[in-house]
Amino acid sequence: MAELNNKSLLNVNDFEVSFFTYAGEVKAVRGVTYELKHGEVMGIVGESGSGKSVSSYGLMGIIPDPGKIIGGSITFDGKDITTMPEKEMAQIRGKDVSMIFQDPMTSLNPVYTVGNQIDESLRKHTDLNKQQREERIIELFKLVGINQPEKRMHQYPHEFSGGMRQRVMIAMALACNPKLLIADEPTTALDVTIQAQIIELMKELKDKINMSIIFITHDLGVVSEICDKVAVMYAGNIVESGSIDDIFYDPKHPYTWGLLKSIPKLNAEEHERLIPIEGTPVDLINPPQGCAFAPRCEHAMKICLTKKPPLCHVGENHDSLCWLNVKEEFDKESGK
Amino acid sequence: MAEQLKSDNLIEIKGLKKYFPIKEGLFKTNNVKAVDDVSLFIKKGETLGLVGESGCGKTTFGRTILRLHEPTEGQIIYDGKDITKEDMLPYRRKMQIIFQDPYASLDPRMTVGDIVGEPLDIHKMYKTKEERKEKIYKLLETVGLNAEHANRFAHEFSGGQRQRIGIARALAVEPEFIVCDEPVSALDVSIQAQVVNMLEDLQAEKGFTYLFIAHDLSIVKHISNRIGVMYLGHLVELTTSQELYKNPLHPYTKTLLSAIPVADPKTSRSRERIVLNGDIPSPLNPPSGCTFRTRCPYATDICAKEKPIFREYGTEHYVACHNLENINN
Repeated sequence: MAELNNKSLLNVNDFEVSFFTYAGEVKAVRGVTYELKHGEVMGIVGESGSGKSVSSYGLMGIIPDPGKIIGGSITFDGKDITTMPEKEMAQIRGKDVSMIFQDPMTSLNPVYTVGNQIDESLRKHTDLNKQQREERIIELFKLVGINQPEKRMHQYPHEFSGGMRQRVMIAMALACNPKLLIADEPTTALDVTIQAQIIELMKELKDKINMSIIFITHDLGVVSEICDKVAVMYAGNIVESGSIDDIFYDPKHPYTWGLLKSIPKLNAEEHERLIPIEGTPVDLINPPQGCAFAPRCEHAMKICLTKKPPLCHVGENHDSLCWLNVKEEFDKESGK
Repeated sequence: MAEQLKSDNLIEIKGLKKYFPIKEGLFKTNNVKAVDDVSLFIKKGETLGLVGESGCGKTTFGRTILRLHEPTEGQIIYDGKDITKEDMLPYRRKMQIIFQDPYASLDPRMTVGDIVGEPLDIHKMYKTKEERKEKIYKLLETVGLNAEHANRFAHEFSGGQRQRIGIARALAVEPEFIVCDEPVSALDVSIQAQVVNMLEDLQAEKGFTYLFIAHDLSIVKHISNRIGVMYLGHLVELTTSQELYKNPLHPYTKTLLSAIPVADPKTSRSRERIVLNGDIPSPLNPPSGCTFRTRCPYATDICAKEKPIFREYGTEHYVACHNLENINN
């Protein structure tokens, strides 16, 4: 892996996060491993509670209480940020790694002008003087497609619509030219036509600025629009990862099959019945002994209920966490 | 369905308007025109889908049909009878609603049994306590829950299960017509499919008529026979779901279709997307003439002057647009 490390921006290795609640330890992220190269766009998909947001909060060092990192490492740009002191982390946060949050309505401070809020990270992380910072803000507004930047930067968040606020959030995240941008469901709260605007904007930005993006979403459609590769999360694990073509056209994990089958196809000629994934997501206070998806999986074998599946390489850069991909086990079960 | 059918249409809406007055200053009031002159009909046993962005008036429309909001103007005809001014209690047994948010629409202090049983109490649909209990158990089983769930509280259930409770409550009075107001948009994808399938099964079994309101066009297309597209209080296009997808005529419908992200990388790489500029204008101060003209790439002078008429183009395909011929040739 040594030679890979040189090229990759981010290495997350067996990362684990637990929330210590009154009800017990909620194992939100249970060993997540992935790698991100410079300029790559990775999508993380999963249902609510799958750990997709929490695993990314770890990259910013902002895991909310009572959550704790209980294992693994995150190497960003050659440094392990899980053990980094807060003072050092504050130098990276907002500068090298920045984040766009889901809800543009609540993530801006209503009592400061938007210009002031973007200025905050420029004040903290750069030596630009006041006039240079103002120029930078105007430049950022133009970049994200906000008209009349000179006037708009002096307005308050309530004077912006939802889509425009999300543009402000993106401008804020891009202020210091980050190496890694984490977008946590950036379009979920927006209407489809506005969502299309933001997706087009992010595609454009991706080509203009050479940064890596982690795109967290539950919408497979959005992933297929913008990502190079995808990680599918279920119950705190990445159950399958690969290029978007691998995931959409040659998925190897039953959960991915289920996800793809349960969304209605817009171009269906006749009425096709949806095939839902039966059951409900697992309780992470008491995760099952074997594969977390086994109770809902129609292909589950005996071993799935008792033993955790290994990570199988099913193709180049295509991994699946499932016993079905272990040939010996599959043969044993099917009686060969 | 013992009564003689007067026509195929269970519901006819004629020129429905719903304005919400807003006080501006001491003497001036303005109106939010949430629903502005919408006419349509819903056939018996069909699912009519209604799509549009937030603030287009689709939810208000659904609620006004049930007279949860009193209409400002227009007629609501249910099964041949004008119910715009009628006492609604007997009609509540026939018309029900499933709400969007399964977290806010169930009383946290009532047991699930009481939530589902409340409509039975109101409409006095049982003779003995035993019968009430049995009915509740049966309803819970219909929606895929167990009898033992009746003694629990709503907070003990997941989002998908809560939506099932909401559905059981709507089914309690054995209605004919159900307004489904974004019933799956708060649910995870894998759970969405479960609920959508259940709604379809119930319809096949009991012959329900649905008005299915959602912003997710792919779900609406999946479940509906016909689809209406709303923009800023107006119906801009209405046709069968296949026709709407294959041959959308109104420029707004076209953009809406192209804006949906498709879970198919090859398609999303190749297709051309129409991206609209700007946001929906405020319904307090809608544009003159055609309300879509401020964002429409094809707008001409006439669009600002005159309101387009909702006309039929081809069979069962209604569109409100001035420049249809120019756009589609």
